[in-house]
Amino acid sequence: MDTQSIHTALMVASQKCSERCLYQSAKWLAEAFNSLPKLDPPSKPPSSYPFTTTFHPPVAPSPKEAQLEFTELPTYLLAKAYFDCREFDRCFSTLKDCKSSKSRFLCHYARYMAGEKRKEEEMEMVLGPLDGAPTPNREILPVINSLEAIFNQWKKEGKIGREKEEDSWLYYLHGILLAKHGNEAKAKEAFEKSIRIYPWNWGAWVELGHLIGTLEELCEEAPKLPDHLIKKIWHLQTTVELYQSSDVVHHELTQLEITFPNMPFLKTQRALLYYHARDFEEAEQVFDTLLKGDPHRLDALDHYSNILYVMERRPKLAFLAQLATSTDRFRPETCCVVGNYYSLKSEHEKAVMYFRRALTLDRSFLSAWTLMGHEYVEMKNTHAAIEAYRRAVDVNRKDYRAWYGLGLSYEVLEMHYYALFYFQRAASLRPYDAQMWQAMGSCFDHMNRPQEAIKAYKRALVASSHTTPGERGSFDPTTLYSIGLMYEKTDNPKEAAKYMDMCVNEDVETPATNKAKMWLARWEFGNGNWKRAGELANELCQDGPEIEEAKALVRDLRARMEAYHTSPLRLNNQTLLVA
Amino acid sequence: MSRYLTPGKVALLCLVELYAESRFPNQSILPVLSFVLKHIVSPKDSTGFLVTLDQIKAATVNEPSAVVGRNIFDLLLKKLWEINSLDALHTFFTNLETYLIDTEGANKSAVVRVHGEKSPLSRSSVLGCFVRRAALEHTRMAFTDAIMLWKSFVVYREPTLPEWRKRNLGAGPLSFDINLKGLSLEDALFDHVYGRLKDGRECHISTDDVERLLEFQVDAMQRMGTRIPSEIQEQLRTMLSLNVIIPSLNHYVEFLNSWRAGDYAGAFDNLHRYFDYTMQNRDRTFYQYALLNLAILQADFGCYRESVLAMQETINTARENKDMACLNFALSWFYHFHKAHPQDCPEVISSRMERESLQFLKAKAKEAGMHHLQSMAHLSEAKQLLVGGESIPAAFESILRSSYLNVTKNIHNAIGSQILLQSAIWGRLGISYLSWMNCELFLAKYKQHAPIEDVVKALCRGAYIISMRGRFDEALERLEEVDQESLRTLKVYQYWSTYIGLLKLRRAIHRSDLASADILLEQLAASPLVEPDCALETAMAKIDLQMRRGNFSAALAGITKLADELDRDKADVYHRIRLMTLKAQLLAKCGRAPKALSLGLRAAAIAWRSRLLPMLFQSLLVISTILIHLSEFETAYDLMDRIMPQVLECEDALLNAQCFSVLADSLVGLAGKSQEAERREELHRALEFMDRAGAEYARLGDGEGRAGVMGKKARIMDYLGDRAVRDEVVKLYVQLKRGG
Repeated sequence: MDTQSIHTALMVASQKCSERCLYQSAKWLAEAFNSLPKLDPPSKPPSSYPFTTTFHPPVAPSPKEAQLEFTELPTYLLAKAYFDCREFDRCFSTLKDCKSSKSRFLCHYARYMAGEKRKEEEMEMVLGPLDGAPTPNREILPVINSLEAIFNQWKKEGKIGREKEEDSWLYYLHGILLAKHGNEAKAKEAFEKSIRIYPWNWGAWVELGHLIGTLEELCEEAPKLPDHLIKKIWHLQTTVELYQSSDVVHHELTQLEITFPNMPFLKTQRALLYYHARDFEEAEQVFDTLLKGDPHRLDALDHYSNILYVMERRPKLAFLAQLATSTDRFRPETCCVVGNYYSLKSEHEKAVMYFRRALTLDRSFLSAWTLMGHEYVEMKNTHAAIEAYRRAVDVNRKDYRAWYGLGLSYEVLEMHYYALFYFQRAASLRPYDAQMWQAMGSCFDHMNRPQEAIKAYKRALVASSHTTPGERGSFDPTTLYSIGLMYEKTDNPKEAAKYMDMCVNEDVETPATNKAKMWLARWEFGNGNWKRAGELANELCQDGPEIEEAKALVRDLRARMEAYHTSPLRLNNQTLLVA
Repeated sequence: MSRYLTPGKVALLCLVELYAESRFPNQSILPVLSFVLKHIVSPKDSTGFLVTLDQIKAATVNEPSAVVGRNIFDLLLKKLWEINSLDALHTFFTNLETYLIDTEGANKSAVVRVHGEKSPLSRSSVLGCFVRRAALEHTRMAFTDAIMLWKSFVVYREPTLPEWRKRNLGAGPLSFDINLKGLSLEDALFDHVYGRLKDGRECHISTDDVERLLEFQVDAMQRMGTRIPSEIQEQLRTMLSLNVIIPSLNHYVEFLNSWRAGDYAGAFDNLHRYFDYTMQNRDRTFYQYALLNLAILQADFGCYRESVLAMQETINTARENKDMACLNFALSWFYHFHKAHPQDCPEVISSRMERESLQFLKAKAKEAGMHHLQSMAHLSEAKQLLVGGESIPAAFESILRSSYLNVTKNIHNAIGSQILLQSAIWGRLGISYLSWMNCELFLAKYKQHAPIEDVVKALCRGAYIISMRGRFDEALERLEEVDQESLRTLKVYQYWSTYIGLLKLRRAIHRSDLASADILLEQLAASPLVEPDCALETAMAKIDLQMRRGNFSAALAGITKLADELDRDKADVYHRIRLMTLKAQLLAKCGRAPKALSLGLRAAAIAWRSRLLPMLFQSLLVISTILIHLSEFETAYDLMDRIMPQVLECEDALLNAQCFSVLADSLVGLAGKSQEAERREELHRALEFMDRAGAEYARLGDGEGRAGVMGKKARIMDYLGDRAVRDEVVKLYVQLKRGG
């Protein structure tokens, strides 16, 4: 496709979304075509412009539909005005008897939105005593039914398989409702149908993306969809959401950026890629340029604040919070940034307050739930933390931090079996994150399943070496020590000693290496290898928590060595050990 | 806008930190700390509300610091510019805690001060409280408020950039925030975050500042009875224009202001508004104060009936709520109201407001520890004694009690009333010099803390006394010296202008400028709601004028009417005697000597009993005049001769002149009866007295009086045969008559 036709298609799509009050999609599409290279200005008079549709509301392609739309234009305009004023019920009742596809879509969509509005009004305070099960949207079922009636009608008319572009929107709406209703398989089908008919509807892609929980699902889903430019972007976004950060993904992104050179959305994806790969510096830089380009853009700033939080860049985080606040202080993103800032300043109550505000603004704002969980952990309110994490997971199954947080909280409560389950979920999302595997290992350990624990720890070792390629040999000493202990438990001291040795040989000095040294010293002592035992113990006598133990060992060693040297019998080691 | 924190306070906190870090050498501690304290404790004058950097600079730039070559302002700048981001400001506030003594690990050992080392502030010290409050207020701040504070801090600090750059060459226009590194002024990012910085003055003033200013203002207005000075009004206007939550106290200030300005409707409206807004947080417990204010307001605007009703309600509410302070105050107010407007008091109240009520008030005030009220009650007692013409020593005793309370309890604003009363007593005792001295003393020493009303009263009293000596111009000049600011209060202005009118009227009467006297009198009579004593003076002047004109019947009618009024109100015995003597004088002039004599004798008897010496002399003067009419020259001469020294002490020019001329008359009468040799001598003495009388008249500018004296003198000269002198005197007489 050449740039011009992409341009036109995106513009038409954006206008269509606007007509149907799909604001976010319209915004995204508009951003997309604005980031395309600029078109040459037309040299001919306006009447002969090739794509008049781009200057007027696009007319439906089929003449019958166009006629219908024209007849219903006054009603439609009135209804759209109502919708824009958030008078959904009024919009719905105005459009009740309309026949054109556009009006029908808006009618049903308005009804659904009315239900959403009522649902929100009925909701209790975030994490309040009554904020339990989410209140249902009571309009979903009626809307699904009436949509299905329309589809049945089409079936009768033999229209199925010959749907026009304007009909795709109804499938899209159907998909949304089915997903909300919990029927994900059918929802996916609906989205697929909609996309196949009209692939430029970004909203359908996004909704489909939400339904994909794992990489396998993505691989399964992708071939079913038509090959399209938008699909590439969608594929990229979904992969990023699944925390993939391989070179392949980067390459995909670079390819897309050739088509859309300045699209902030793609840049954000790049930043997220770096973020997931724990390359914070790069991610920070990308976000910096994004902010410089458009300081009013708040999208994904919550992720940026997470990055700054991890890097402990307090002044910058404060500045970001200031920036976001001066743009719009009642956006969930802003509240998250401010909350993160307060969290970094160890003012956890205030942080919770801001996360709560973010959630009041948007209950499905994932980051806020997770971050609120973190805050509650900090405040030692494990039960509240668990609930917050659970809500995060309910909103989006793909957030490994929430799963991991759940696991940690249950571990604090010493409910290891539960914790294990959540760690497994987290690990399945981030198979190359050592942290998950370590946590799992310690869970197995607590549950007296050393064999599984060893496996988990070994995975952790692999993962940690995976994340830092090229530096083979720098294993995490703690994990090594843990593996050693596990082998000891399984009565495999030789293997244990091997790992302890590896641990001691790591360059860094941590409590774990000290402990490993102590263990090794005892082990060598037991094996009668007094010299090495003495060396190890003496090393420990410098400082550290094992100092007393080490000194005792050294004294013991000395006594025995003296006894050994002075003893005329020169008893062998084994008998000494027995004594 | 913030509740408490402002950039100015941040700067003060920096100074406190520097102090706590022992960066001040000993000699700088006092000036800098007193500067800081001035801004954090309740203010004493109108300058301590806003801390500008210029003020801080002025206070610190000349103070050396513990760092060689740097003054305290340099160190302060360093501290201020080290706050280089929003986060740094946050950290600054969280670090404040470290400057306080740790309560748990507090060791009592003496702190050895080392420069640069923190010597922590005690938690309950003034500075400690300030630091704690600031930290707490910062914790309470929402994030957006913190941003506002930060932005206004940036604006506040901005002017010191050139000075900061002297020591730090790298500093640029964007160095106020480290996050702006690598940006330029034109960047969209900068524009978005700091674009509207220049008008970000919102946080320069906090609600706390405004409240402090308003409280100070209310206190000053209530204590002094002034209006808002225009300078403060300006400050207030700028403060309130800056997007401030207006504290409801502002309505109270507005109320006081419009009350003083005489804007009845406005005052009423604002009072109601104030109590409407405060109702929710102060509940009904303040109902009695609302009523109290209302009652006083009503009374001030002459709605006496309304006022009495409101005050009765106040008393009931105060009783109900057991608010002794309010109750006592209301009772005391009622007492004074009853004294001032007896005819407007319902019977029930008047019957209660007799002497016992004063005793009751004194006892209650003492019980409740309301020293001010107690002191005022003593003064009222003294006043009552004087009005009733009772024992002077008893009155002095009461004044002494009051004075003792004023001095021991440091009651500044009761001293005015006390000294004025004292001055009145001296006046009544005929020692006008002491009376005047008291007024001057008050003006010289107690003016600052006294209500403006007392100050103006003292000024008027002093001027009046000067005018009695015949120095009208000096008296008027003295009146003009009044502080123009205080005249913005309507009542005070009315009082003051009435006095000016009165003095001018007296002067006109003496100078026989009857036309202008008429106009002045009309003007005086036209102004409504003057103080009772001014009204009385005006009426007296009117009678004088009528007598001057020879319209005796009108004068008599006036006197009778006035006397009836005074009798009805049980008014001051002094004024009643004054009227009696005036009447006697009138009767004597009309040739009804016997009636006049009896009246004069009665007046003299009462005046003597009440020790109202000026009145006594006045009545004796009338009696002597009558005696001369009855040809009892000897007695008349003796009478006048005995009192003459004391009369002179009164320093009343008119009285002196009249006395001298009566002495001369009696001597002339005596001369008529005696032998030739004695006669000449007596006539010469009479001439001498006439000269003195003439001199006194001249002092008053009273041409007519002088002419009368000259006429007599010419006749005596004629008798003595001294023609040359006689002709000269006649010429003078003609001249005086013509120039009259």
